[in-house]
Amino acid sequence: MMVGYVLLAVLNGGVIGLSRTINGRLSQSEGPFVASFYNHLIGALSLLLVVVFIGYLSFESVAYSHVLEQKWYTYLGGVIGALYVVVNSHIITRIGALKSTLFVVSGQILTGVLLDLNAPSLTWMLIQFTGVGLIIFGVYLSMIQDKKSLRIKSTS
Amino acid sequence: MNSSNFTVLLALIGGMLLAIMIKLNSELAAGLTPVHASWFAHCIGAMTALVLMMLVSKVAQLKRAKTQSSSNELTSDSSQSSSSLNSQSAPLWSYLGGLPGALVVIFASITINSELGFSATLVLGLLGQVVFSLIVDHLGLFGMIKKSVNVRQFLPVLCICTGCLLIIFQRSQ
Repeated sequence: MMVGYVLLAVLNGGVIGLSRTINGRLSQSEGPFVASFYNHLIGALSLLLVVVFIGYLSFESVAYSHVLEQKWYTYLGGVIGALYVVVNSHIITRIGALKSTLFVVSGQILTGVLLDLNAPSLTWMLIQFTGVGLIIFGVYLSMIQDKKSLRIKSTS
Repeated sequence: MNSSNFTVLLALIGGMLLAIMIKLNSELAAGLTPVHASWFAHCIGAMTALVLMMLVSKVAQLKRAKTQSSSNELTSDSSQSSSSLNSQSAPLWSYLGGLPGALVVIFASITINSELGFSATLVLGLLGQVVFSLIVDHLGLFGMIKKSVNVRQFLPVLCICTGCLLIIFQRSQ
């Protein structure tokens, strides 16, 4: 069963990549804002089906009062999500799928570190610093490689 | 700042937005359910994107009107400036990026609640993303520009992935 979950988690990463790439293709023709709109529209419609389905099977249902009880700012996730898809659809057409994945993940993890900065111990801090350093070095390395390959192309 | 550095900066900002989005969405998911929370996020996201889309097309329209009135000779020039856009029209499947996006929510809530937990789900998902995007670039799938992957590129991949692994597992302790 464990192997099944591992495979599903890896597959999920692939599905994330698939969604970003498809949005990137739409962005090539129609621009990143249109890509973000259709991504959220189709996502909302398909999740509506899922919501109705699980409501029908009554696994989980959500009362209206429940919806209103939530902190208002948690609903802003959707606004930020719309901006995120705009940014991602734009960059994937410029730097390709691999680089945009690497840089987006780097930004995501580094922000995660900043969002909850705490250092329970020195070892903890050292490991975090090493991780942050490795990510920054990797991004730098990737940027340098880009410039080198451009230079080679222009001289040949 | 040249345009390639700007794109990298934009990508990092994209990751920042993603981290904040996930934090807000998971707080909402804890109060509702993951699927309901994601449904709300997608509805609000669609409305936001619709407003942005209309604003952008309005601005583009005004710009076009301005360049046309200032010089009719240069109309062919202004069409060249948007050359980053693919001249081919968008295939039908390219409108369906939200479909796998919706699947992600369901898959993630299954694996996070399994014995894998949050950190392993994140790390294995990262692996899936990197492998998928390597294949897309190498073969030029889904209309992306074909970029053959060479061994040299594995060093930054290794650095970034190791760094992420260290941070993610450290945080789960």
